[in-house]
Amino acid sequence: MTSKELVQSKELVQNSEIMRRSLWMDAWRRFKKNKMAVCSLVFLMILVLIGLSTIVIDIATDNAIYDSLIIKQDLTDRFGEPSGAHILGLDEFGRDILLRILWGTRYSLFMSAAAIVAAAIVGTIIGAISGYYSGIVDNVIMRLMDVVLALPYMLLAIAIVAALGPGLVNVLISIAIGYVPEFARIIRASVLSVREREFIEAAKALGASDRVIIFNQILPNVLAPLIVQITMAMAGAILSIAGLSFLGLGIQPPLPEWGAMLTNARAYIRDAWHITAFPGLMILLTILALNIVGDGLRDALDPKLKN
Amino acid sequence: MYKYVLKRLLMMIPVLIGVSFLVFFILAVSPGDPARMILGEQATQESVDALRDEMGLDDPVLVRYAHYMGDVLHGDLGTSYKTKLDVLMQVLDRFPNTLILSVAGILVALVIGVPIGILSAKRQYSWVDNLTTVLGLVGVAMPNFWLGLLLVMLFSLHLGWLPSSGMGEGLVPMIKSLILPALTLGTGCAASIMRMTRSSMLEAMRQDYIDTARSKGLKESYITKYHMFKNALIPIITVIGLQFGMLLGGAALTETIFAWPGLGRFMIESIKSKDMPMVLGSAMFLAVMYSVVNLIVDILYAYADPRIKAQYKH
Repeated sequence: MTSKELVQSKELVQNSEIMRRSLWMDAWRRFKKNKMAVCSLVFLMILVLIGLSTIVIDIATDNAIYDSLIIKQDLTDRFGEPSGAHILGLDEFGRDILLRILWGTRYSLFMSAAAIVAAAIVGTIIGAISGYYSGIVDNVIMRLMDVVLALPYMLLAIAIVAALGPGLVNVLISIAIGYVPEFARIIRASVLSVREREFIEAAKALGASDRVIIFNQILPNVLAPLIVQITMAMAGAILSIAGLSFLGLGIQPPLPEWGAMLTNARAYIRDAWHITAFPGLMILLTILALNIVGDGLRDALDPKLKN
Repeated sequence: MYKYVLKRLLMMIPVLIGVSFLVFFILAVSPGDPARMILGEQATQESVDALRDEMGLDDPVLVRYAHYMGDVLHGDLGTSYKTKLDVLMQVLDRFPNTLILSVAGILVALVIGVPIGILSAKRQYSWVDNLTTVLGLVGVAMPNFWLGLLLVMLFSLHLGWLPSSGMGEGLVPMIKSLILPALTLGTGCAASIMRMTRSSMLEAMRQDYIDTARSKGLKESYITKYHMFKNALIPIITVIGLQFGMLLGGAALTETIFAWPGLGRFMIESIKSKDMPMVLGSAMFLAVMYSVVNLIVDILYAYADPRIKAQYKH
C-alpha cells in the first residue's frame, strides 16, 4: 500500500467515525430546535431528580419523613385549602398534597419506566428472532402477538391484576405484558428491512453467528424507532397505572401514587376541590411532557417521518 | 362483497379461539381455590376435594378450557359464586348500558374530532390549527377518570345542570345522565380522531388529483368532501375502530366514576368480591365484542376503499 493510499484509508476511517457520531449529534441538534420538546424534557428531568431525591431522603432518614409526613394521618386538620404553609392544601386525612405528589413520582415515573423497559427488552428479543428467522417461527410468534393485541389493553391489564391480585409487582407485570407485542412488531418490521442490506450479507460472509448479527449488526440500526416507542409507551403506562390504582386494583392507599390519591376524591368532591385537582394535573402534565418529547425524538431521529 | 365478509368471518375464528384461551388462561389459572371459595373456610378438606373433582379443577388447563368453551357455545357462562345467578343473564343485563355509553362516547368523539380535524388541515399553520394542535395534545394526555371528576365538579356541583351519577329512568333523564359520562369517555378519542383526520387530510390534499379537480373548476367544498375527505377516510376509520374497541374495554373507569350500570363496572365489582365466573364471563364477553368491532371496521374499509375489496375478489 502506498503512503498516499494509506492516508486516504485513514481519512476514510476518520470520516466514517464522524458519520457514526453525527447521527446522534444531528438528532440532538434537530431536537434542540424544538422548544416545546426541550421544555418537556427539562420538566421530566426535574421529575426524575425529585423522584431520586425522595428515595435518597427515605434511605437517609430511615423512612422517618416518609412515615410522618406522607403516610401518617392527622384527622384534626382535614381538607385544608391551599395556603402558604401547604401550597397545594391538605388531603382527606390531613396530609400535605404537594409532598405526597412529590413522593409519588417514584410510582408513576419509575414504575412505568421499569414496566416499559421490561416490555421493550422482551419485545425486542421476540421481534428480532421473529424478523430474522421468518418462516414458521415468525408466523407462530406473530400470531401469538396478534392474540394479545386482539384484547383491549385495559381489559388485559385488569384481567391480569384480577388474577394475580393488586400490588406493585403485579401491576408492573400486567402493564408490561400488554406492551410486548407493540415492541415486537416494531422491531420485527425494522429487522425485516435491515436484514436485506449489504452489510448483513457481509457479516454473514465473514462467518458471524446469528446472535452476533442480530445483536451487534441489526439492533443498533433499529434503536431510533425503539427509543421513540419507549417514550410514547411510558405515557400510556403512567395512565394505566393511575387508572388501575384509581379503580383500587393497582397501587393501594396509603401509598402516594397519583392515581391512588384520587381513589377517595370522588367521595370528597363536594368538600375539597384541591384533592381532585392536583394529582390529576400532575398525571396530565407528565403524560403531556412524555408525548411531546416522543414526538420531538421521532422528528429528530427520523426527519423523513415528519409530515 | 359477501365473499369478502365470509372470508373475514372465517379469519375471525382463530382470533376468537386465541383470545378466549388467553382470557381463560389468565383468569382460570389464577391463584386461589374456587372450590374453597364456594364452600367457605369452615368446609372440610374432603368436601373441597370432592367439589374440586366435580368441577374438574384438577384437569389440565386445555381440558378445562374445552369444557368451558363447550358450555359457552351452549349459552352457559356458569353461575356466580356469590349470588348464584346465571352469569350470561347478568352480563346481557349490563352490556347494553356499556354499548349505549360507548356509542355515545364515539359520537361525541366524531362530532368534535372530524370537523375540527378537517378545519385544522384546511387552514394549516393558522391560529385555529395551532390551537387545535395544543388541545389535541392535552386531550390525548388527559386521564379520563380525572376529566370525569372535573366535569362532575363543574356541571353537577357548581352549575347543577346534570346528574353526577347513575342512569336516569325514562328517555330525557337517561340522556341527561349520559352526557357527562359520554363526554368523559369521548374526549380522549376526539383528540386522537382529530389528529388522525388532520394528518390524513393533509396527505390527501397533496395529491395530484386535487390539482386536477381544482383545474376542472370544481367547487372547493365539493373537492373537500368528495376528493379529500373520502380518500382520507381509511386511516380515520382505523382510529375510530381502535378507539371504539378501547372504549368498550376501558369503559370500566368511566362507569365507576359515574356509577353507570355497565359491564365494565360490574367486572370491577366482581373482581373485588373475587367472583371469578362473573369476572371471566364479563372479560370474555368484552373481548369477543372487541373482536366483533374490529371485524365490522374491516368490513367498513371495503366500503370506503374499493381497492381493498378488489384484493379479496380472487
